Order: sequence, then structure tokens, then C-alpha cells
Amino acid sequence: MSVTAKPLPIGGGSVRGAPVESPLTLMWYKFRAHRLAVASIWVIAALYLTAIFANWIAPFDPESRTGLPFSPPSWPTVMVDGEFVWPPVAFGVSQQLDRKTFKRVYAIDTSKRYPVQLFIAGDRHSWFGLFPTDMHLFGVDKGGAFFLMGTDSLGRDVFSRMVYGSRISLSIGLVGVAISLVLGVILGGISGYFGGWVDLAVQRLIEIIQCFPSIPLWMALAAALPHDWTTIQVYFGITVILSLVGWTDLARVVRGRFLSLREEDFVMAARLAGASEARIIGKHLLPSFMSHIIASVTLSIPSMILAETALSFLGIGLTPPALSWGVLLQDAQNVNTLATAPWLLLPGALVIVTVLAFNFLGDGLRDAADPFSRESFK
Amino acid sequence: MWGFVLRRLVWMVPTLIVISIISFIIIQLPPGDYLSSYIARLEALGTTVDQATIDALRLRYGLNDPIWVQYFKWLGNIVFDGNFGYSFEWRLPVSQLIIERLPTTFLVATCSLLFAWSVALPIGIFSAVKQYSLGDYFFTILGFLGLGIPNFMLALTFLYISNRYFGLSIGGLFSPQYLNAPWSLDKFIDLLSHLWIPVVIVGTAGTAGLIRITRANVLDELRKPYVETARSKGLHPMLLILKYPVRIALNPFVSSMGFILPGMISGEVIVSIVLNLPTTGPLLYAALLSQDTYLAGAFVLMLAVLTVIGVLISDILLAWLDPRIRLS
Amino acid sequence: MTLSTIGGWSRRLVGTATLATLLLSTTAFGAAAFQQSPMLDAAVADGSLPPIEQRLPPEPLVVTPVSEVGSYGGTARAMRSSTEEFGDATSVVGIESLTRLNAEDGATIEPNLAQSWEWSNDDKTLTMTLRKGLKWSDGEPFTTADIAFWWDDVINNAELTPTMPGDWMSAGEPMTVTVVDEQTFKLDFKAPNRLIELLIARDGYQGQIFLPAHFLKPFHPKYADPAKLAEMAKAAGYATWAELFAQKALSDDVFGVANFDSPVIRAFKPASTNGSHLILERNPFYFKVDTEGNQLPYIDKVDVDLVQNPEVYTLKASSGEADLALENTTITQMPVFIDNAEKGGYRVLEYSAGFTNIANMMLNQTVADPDKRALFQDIRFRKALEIAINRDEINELVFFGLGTPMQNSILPIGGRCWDEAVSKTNTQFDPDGAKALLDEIGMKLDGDWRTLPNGKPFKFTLTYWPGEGGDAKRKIVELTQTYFRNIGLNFDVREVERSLYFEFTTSNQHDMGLWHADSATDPLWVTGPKIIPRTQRHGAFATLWATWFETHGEKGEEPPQDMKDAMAAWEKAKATGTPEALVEGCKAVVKANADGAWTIGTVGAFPQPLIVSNAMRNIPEQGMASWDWGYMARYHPEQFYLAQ
Repeated sequence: MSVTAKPLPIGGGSVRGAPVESPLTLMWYKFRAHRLAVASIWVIAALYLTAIFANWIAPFDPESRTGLPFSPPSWPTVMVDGEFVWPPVAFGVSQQLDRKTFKRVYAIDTSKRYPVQLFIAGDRHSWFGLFPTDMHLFGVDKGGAFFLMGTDSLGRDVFSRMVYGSRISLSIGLVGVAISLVLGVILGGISGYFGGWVDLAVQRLIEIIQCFPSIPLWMALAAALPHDWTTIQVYFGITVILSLVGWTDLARVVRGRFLSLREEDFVMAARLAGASEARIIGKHLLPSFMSHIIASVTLSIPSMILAETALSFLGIGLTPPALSWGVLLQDAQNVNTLATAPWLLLPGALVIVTVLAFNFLGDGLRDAADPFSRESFK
Repeated sequence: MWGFVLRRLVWMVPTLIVISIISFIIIQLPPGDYLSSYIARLEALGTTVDQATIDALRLRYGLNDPIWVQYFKWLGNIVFDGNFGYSFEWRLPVSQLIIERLPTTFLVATCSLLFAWSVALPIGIFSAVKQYSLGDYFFTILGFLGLGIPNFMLALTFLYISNRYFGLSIGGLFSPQYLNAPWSLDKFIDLLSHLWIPVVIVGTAGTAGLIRITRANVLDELRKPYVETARSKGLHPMLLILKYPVRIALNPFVSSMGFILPGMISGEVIVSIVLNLPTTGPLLYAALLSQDTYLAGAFVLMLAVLTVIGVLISDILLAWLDPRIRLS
Repeated sequence: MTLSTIGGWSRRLVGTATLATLLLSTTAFGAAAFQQSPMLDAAVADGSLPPIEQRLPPEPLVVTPVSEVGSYGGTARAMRSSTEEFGDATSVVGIESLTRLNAEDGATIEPNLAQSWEWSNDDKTLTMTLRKGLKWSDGEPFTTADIAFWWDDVINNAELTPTMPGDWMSAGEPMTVTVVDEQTFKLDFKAPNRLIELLIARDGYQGQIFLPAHFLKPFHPKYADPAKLAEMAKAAGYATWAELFAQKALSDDVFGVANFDSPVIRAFKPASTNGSHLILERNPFYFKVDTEGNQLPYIDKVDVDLVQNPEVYTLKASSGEADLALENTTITQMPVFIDNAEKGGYRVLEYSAGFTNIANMMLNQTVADPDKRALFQDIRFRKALEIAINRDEINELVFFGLGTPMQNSILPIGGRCWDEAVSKTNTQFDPDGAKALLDEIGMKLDGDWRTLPNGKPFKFTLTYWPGEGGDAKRKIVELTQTYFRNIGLNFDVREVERSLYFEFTTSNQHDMGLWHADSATDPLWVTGPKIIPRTQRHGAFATLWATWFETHGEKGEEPPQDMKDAMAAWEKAKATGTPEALVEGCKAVVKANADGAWTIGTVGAFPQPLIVSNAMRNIPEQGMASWDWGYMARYHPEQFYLAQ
């Protein structure tokens, strides 16, 4: 996560001897007041670290089948027969199909114990093709029932799949927003800065795009993706689709800020002092502007994450073998899952946490965005 | 004022033309056309369709015409005849199909909107007044939960729980026994018992945004000098907030109203598919999938045009409220 | 389901039906012995409906109930997933065609609307005699005029039917239809065409050869003023009279479309609609009775709920909101169905899903890329793919171990074409053997993936539509991906919508396609073979070769000898048309497919849950549930009844 919200020394220090706080420092002071937002930073950081180091964190390969389909979550325990054990142990497990109910019946074999180990050898993996290894951060030896979030219909570990799936789900928001941002800043900036007929034309364009419900737009664009694209290409295609539909909000924000800042006294002052346009934009407009952009960007990320899951649900987004939270949730979208394997919905909980975290972070940033309102310094 | 309205009306013409073009492109973008989808279905049903039949059908439906000819034919029929075309899939006039389902769509959308506002306004005002209090966090989390939960997941879970644990009949807007019954109190109650699920799901997805707007606007207003003045004059705090800042903070609602329809419709599509509602959503979705050109095109066009009109109305309202806008 | 030969349809005359019950004469009951549903009593009493004796034909078709004589009344609840079909209601409403296939052996042809039929000695003329006194649901007589109208004014009208459907052609020329009298008509073919007999009996997929002439004539320019007709069409929102006519003519469409105006011949008629519900009511002129002279159907009304989302379907079925559900039930949902059976008040029967394969993969041997094409045409490569698949694991994970690993062939049900050895060709799991084959071809490992024999990087993509069969296809594809990757092949998967799949495969844009293999019993297979490249547009395991066959060598590319031989054998069998010849032809194609690895089969012959409410009676305990079998329509749905 790039938004660490630490005080950065942009335009900081003292000017002509008077102590002046930079806009970002001011922002940080205000931001701290929003405790949920501060907590969200930690949550988001943890999520992204997990995504980056997914291959070490996941105890299993996301595609490896354990031969134990629809196993409920089974956690290691520290209490065995009333005795405390350390490290926690997982038990052996066996599975049988009950031909009458068509359910998999799981029997725990407490005589077989598998202690949880750190840095344990397991499925082979590599970090984006680098550092091939079979070392996992934690896990148990083969045979132990160590499925933190159960297994899916093909017997794959849901937790591991979720961890790997976060790579696509968390990055699709960033990449999509980045594209939206470029479009939004360029078009919104042009529109706001030049005004006149350019502004009018861009405004009409935004209005027109916003007039369309997003689902037909998504469906048409998704159907137009070449069918022989690889999973990765489809992923980028979908990201671009989401941002093509989603850039308008950012453009409006950018334009709005440009318009209002243009009229601010300090800009007028700078202009009267003979500052060049470039200096006005770079030195005065951008800093006071960035905070708002960052807040808006943060608030658009969760909608991208949600859109990805919605696309998967509609059958026009990513599909297996691609792994994303949307793909995992699509697999869970059936009555059979709700009734017999509700743990497959757990990726949904992760979506909720992520979306909330981004929203609170965005709210905190937005509250803090205007460095000159001092009300909430109390 | 009239000059402003006239200017906006003139501007609507090119906007509408561009919208109709985009609508048509959206429908034509996926490879293939309705016939390929129709033949795919026939073949799936075991019927063999030979190339000659395909060619003949393509000719009959004018699918061989260049795309701009198809576009002008389509638009011409709409503008001059009010004829939105014929749904290949339903073998019925498009207008009839849409009109049948519009009332339920508006019912769900309006109720969702009301629900969203009635949840978002109190929470927004509360969390602005009591910024960073425990209550602020609690209600904001509550309000944002609806945003965080994917709509389809929430819908299916609601459906499952309401059926399994509360014995409600699944999907639709009425229980089977009330479907053909005349309106009565019981039927109305039955409707409410079904309606709340989509309303809550569609509504909660929209509350977060509204909470944020309200909260930000009330916060902005609270900082203004007139609030200090009123407070110093001894106006009761609660009365003060409701009388001034909230009233002014409502302005953005008016301006965002125009764009709410497409958002609600999009949210409604997914929820209605899951909940099996007789609204326009599933119809639109199916039409897009089967490339039922005229039906899907008419839908997209109609929604976009309604939105344009909505934006126009909200702009006029704003201009009427605020003279600065109409003079700019 | 009993296994039996398809010899049944070889009989020259089926005047003496195998089931003695079918043609009991009315005298067995006596004229006063017919009873009707109490629902109709009032209408008969006030004279708006003629009495039962005048509504039934003099010789009604007698149906023997599956377990007992039922009682009248009730509304059967069913679901459908699209407005174009009756869905599960098909299983209650039934399908009426001139003749029908026996429900038990799926092969014997039985009388239905037609009472008897006869082939000329040269097998070129089929003479059919309709049951006397049949009536449409509006009371108008059903006669050969309805067949003549269908042929002369609909099939032979260029606006309604742009090109003559191939089924009515023989040796390149359309058949002729001659009306002999009110009950008798003749179909004349240029060449022997015994296959048509099966087509007609196959519950009318392509064999529905009648339309209500008296009702449709006012919408046809031959009988009505074209100017007025154009006005009518316009007023109703249609561009041409043909569109209006097409809508009006839908009444007795095979799977049914709600059309409230037009009369029907089947047991139920669309009566009203409300939101997503469609209500059908009994046809008072229906021509069948039970063994005690009760006019069928037993059930008064059918309530069809439009349920587009398959999960809502499952939820409704599993909470007992339908009296009968099987269209969208899949074996993967078994646990939830069984779990709720008691609470929902229903039973779960295990019917056979009519697939020899729910996921049948097809490498496109005429793919555009020349390197890929050379590889795909190498049988060793296709064989390597076949044996890389662990079908037992698929069976265990997706079908609870209840399916059968097999190639795309034919089901044992009712089949002389069934050959176990052929269906098991190359189905053993042998990844090492697969790797050895790839090595032999010269596909060397370069990093993770194997290259083409010429050293260029290689990647291929499966394009497929995940619909039909619940999530089984998607799961099999996920598994297959890992199998192919395990032997070092860079294999990717792309899900597409059905129409897009069709678009890609017909325009030869796919590396590999996937479709379900249905029509998998003898009589169904021969009326619509699913392996032959010609009709397998969906499958298209060789689009350009299929085009070559379709255009008789004008377009496309010339196929290899084994495919040409198999096609020739099939064409010959069809031309000969005798059941024996058809069996031979069918066997030849099935074997050529297995030997030549044209298609890559996975698992087939698995069960499908049938949900039956406790009130619903006279449902056979075993049977087949598939669209091409007409769902339950083959099991005489008119004798299903709801116990009070």
C-alpha cells in the first residue's frame, strides 16, 4: 500500500524563518483523529502483505487437491484429552461418502497428531517465478487436517485459495483506479483548467457515460474481449473495462477542485507575485489538490473490488483457473453451499473487511483533505 | 431562468443523439447477432439449422444491412413511429414488454431510494455532529456494511434464510395465493413481506454514498460563521442543526438525484436475477445475453434518456434554488 | 429402464400395438361410462361445453396408469427457466405428436394422434391414418386439413419458411403431402426414408407436422386480405404479417410457449398469466382416457413459475414449492435435495441423465494456425490428452462416483449400438504414457511447458459455455486443466456465452471446444447424431471438414479418410433407412470417433435427481430425464395425479 500517510516533507520546513507545516503534515494531524481510518491502514497493510507474500503464507498450493472435498474448517487445537499441548496439533482425518444423504462424512482420528510447525516443507511454489522453494510459513505435515477455512468441492484448501486470490482482487482495484486516475486527471484537469467549450464537451461526455447503467456497458465490453486471451490478458481487459466505465467520478472531482482552487486567494496572490503557470500548478495547486485526489482514489478502490465480484457473478468476469475473490464467491453462489458448506462464503467476509477498510481510510483522508479547516483539531 | 432551461434543452439534442449511438454500439459490440444466439439455442435443442436458413433469416431481419443502416432504421422507427421494434426472443413488441415491467421496477427503485435516504440521513447527520465518537464509528460501520457485502451474495443468503428459517415463499413479489387476488390488506402485507428483501439489499448498497455526502455537507455547514452566530444566540443545538445546516446539506441530494436511476437499476439487475423479481432487470440481462438487439437497445436507450431527463430536472431545480448557477 | 432392442420400429404395421391396453375399444366402457373432471361439470350443465361423449373421439386412446387409477383435481406446480419453454411443465403438460416412442424401451413406436400407419413396399410412401373424432381445445375437429395447411401454407411459404428443412427432403427433393380423406394422408419421398418414422415419433422436435388451420387462416395472406393483415400486424406491434403469424402459430410448439388465443391438442392450454406465473388449464377435448373411462388428464391446472435463476430453482425445488422438478436439478445438488425432502414433502428419485458425456472436449483439427493444426491432427497428441485425464477422480468429485468413465458414444438404454469396449477406448488414466507420447512427437519441455515439435512455444485454449448440467462442466474443466498442465501443456480456459461459443466454433476460431453429448440413446441418436462433424456445429472438432461435408466438397477442406469413411457409412445407412442399417451406421460412427480420438470424453451415464412431491402420484420409479427424451412427457403425464 502506497498510502502510508506518514508526514512527507513536501514543501515542508520553514519558509523565511516562520514555522510552516506542509499540507501533508497538516493532513496527517487531522487524519489521526479518525481512529477507524488509522486502524484501517493496518488492516489494508496486512492484506497487501498477505497478497505479496501469498506463496509463503498459504499452507497449500491453491490448485492442489487434498482428496478431501467439502471438509469443514478444521483448526489445530491446544487441548487434547483435557491436556494442554504446544505447539497446537491437527489430527488425522478420513472421509467417506454417505450414499443415502450424499454427504461426505468426516471422521477425526485423534490418535494421529500433526503439530503445527513454522517454516515447514510442503507444496513447491515460487514468488512470481522467482525463489522457487517448498518452504511455507506455517502448516502441518501431509495427512493432518489443517484447513483453516475448510476445503471446496474439489478438495482444495479455501484459505490458501483466498490468500492467492487476494493478489488479483487487491491489485485489480489499484490498477483499475490508476487507469481511471490517469483518465480522470487528464480529462478532468483539461476540463477544469481550460474551461469554455473544452469543459463543456468533457462535461457532456461524462454526463453521457454516467447516464448508462454499468451492467450493459460491462457486458458489451466483456463480450468484445478476444476469446483466445489468456487469463492474465482477460484480467487486464476487465480492469480496463472497469476503469473505462469508472473514470468519470474522478474526473468530476478533479475538475471541481481545479475550478474552486483557481479562484482561491492564494492562487491569485501567487499570480500577482508573478509566479508562472507551471509554478502555480506544481507548487500551489497540486499539493492542496493531491489530498483530495488521494481520498477519492481510496474511495474508488472498493467499488472496483466489488465490481470484480459482480462481474464474476454475472459470468462475464474472471473465471477459473484465474483465482480471485470473485471467482471463489461465484463457486460459493449456490444453495448447496449455503446449506452444506457455508465456509465457502468466507471469501465474502474478506471482501467486506477490505471494502470497509478502504472506505474508512478514504473517509479519514477526505476529512483530513482540507488542511485549512481547523474545526476537528480539538 | 427560461434562457437557462432553453439552453439546457438545446444541449439535450446532441446528448440524446450520442446516447442513441452508444446504445446501439453497446448492443452490436459482442461478436455475432441475435441469429447466432438463436441458432445456438435451436442447436442446443437438437434442431439442425443449415446455412441457407440462416442466410434467409438474416436477410429477413435485415441483419445483413450495414450497421449504420440498421441504426437509422431503428432510430427512425422510434422517432417517427414510436415503434421500439420487436423482441426476437419474446416475439412481442418491445414497448409492451418494457411497460409491463416498469411499475415493479420503479416500485423497487423508489422504495430502495427512500430506504437508503431514511437510513443514511440520520446516520450522516449523527456522525457529523458527533464526529469520531463511538456512535459515529458504530453507525458508520453499520451503514457501510451494505456497501461491502456483494449484492448477489446478500440476496441469496437473505433468500435462503427467509425461506429456511421463516418459511417465506421464495422470490417474486407475491406469494402464489395472492398473485391473482384483487388488492386487499392481506395482499399488501404479503407484498411488503416480499418487497423488503430487495429494498434492503439495493438500498443498503446505496446508503454508504449518501451517508458520506450528508456527513461531509453537514460538517462543512457546521463550520460556517452563521452556525456560531445562531449558537451564540442560544438556539437549541438540535433545532439549530435541523433548521440550517441540514437543510442546506440537502442541496447535493437534488443534484445527485438525476444519476441515481442508473445506479439503482444496475444494483437492481443483479438482485432481481437472484430474487426472481418481475422487474426490468432480469429482462435486460437476458436480452443482453441473447443479443435480443431491439429489446436490449430500447432498454439501454430508455434508461439513459430517463437519466438525462432526471439530470435536467435536477439542474433546473438547482438553478431555481440557486441563482448563481443559472447565471454562470 | 429396461434394455431392449430398437427392433420395435422396424415393424411394417403397428396396428396391433404391443401394449394391449392402448387400443381397447370404447365398447369396453359402454357409451355412458366416460367420466369427466368436476371442474367441467358447470360448463357442461349450462351448455357452454358439449357433454363428454361428444368431446371424446369415438375411440379414445386408453392409457394404463403407472400404478393406479387417479382422482381428479388439483393444481400441479412446476417451474420453467425461460419464457420460451414450459420447462418442467413440459413434464406435466406432455407433448402430443402423431406417434410416440414407448416410454420403457424408448424404441417401439406407438399410436397417438395417428391410429395406424403403413409403409409402401419400396419404403418411399408413408400412409398415416389419424384417430377419428379428434378435436382441438376449442372444439374444432383435428383433421388432415391441419396437416395440409402446415405443409402447403407454412413449410412451403417462403416468407414463413425461407428454406425447406432438411428433414422433409429426400434425395435432394422435398417430400409431397397428399390428403386422401379427413383421416388419411400420405407422405411421398423420392428415396426410401424410414428415418422419418422416427422423427415423427420423436415427440415432434422436427416432426410436429400439423397446425390449427381454422385458427391460423385469418392470419395468412392466402386466406385473408393482405392489406388488412398488414394493418393488423402493425396494430399489434409487428413489422410484417409473418411475425404476427409466427406468434400465433406458437400454440403447440414443442416445449410450449404461452399463447392464449390459439387452440392446442395437448392436455393443457395456457389460460392466464400473472407476473412470473403462467396458469394452464385442462383441455376439455383431450382425447385420452384411463382404463376406467375417466377422461384425462387427472390434474385440473398447471401453475408454471418463471424461475430464471438456477439457484432459486434449487431453493424452490428443495423447499417443496414444485410438484415435479428435474429440468435444472443436477447431481451435485443431491445433498441439499435429500436434506430437505422430509420438510419439503417430496421424494428424490434417481433418474438417468441422458448424457454419454456432460463435458465432451473437442480439439479443432482444422485450427487456423498451421503449427497447431499439424499437432492437433497428430493422433498421438489427441491420445495423450485422452489418457492424461483422470476420469475416476472426476467421477468421484463431481458425480459421487455414480457416473461411468466413457468416451462420447451412446447409452446402454434401449441400445443395439451400445458397445462397452468402444466406449472405454483410451479412458484409462496414464499420465506417464501421455508424457511418453508427447516426447515421441517431439514436444520438449522448455521451463514449465512443452514446445511445439519445431521448438516454438505452444499454448492452447479451451473455449466453452458452462451452461447445462449445473456446475459439473465447470468443475470438470477445472480438473482437466490441471491434468493437461501436469503433462506439461500450457492449457488455458475461457468461458463464453452460448451464442459467442457458437460464433467462435462456426468461424473456426477455437483451439478446442466443449459441448455436452446428449441424444444418447439409439432412437434419439439416429435422428440427430451428435458425433458426426456435419451436424455438430457446436462441437466442431473440425470446422473446415464439417463445412466440406455440409457443402458437399465445395467449401472447407477435405477431411481425412477415416472421417470420410465413417460419414459414407452413415449416409449409406440413412439412405437404406432400415433399422438394421441404421444400427450399423451408428456403430461405425461411434467406433470411428473412439478410434480416431475425434472427441475427448470424460464421464457419462450419471444419475439426475427427480423431485416429486408426496402428493404427485403415478410417477415411474425409474426413468430418463433429459430434454431430448422430452423430460417426463414420455411417461404419460396425463395420468399423473395429485392425491388429495
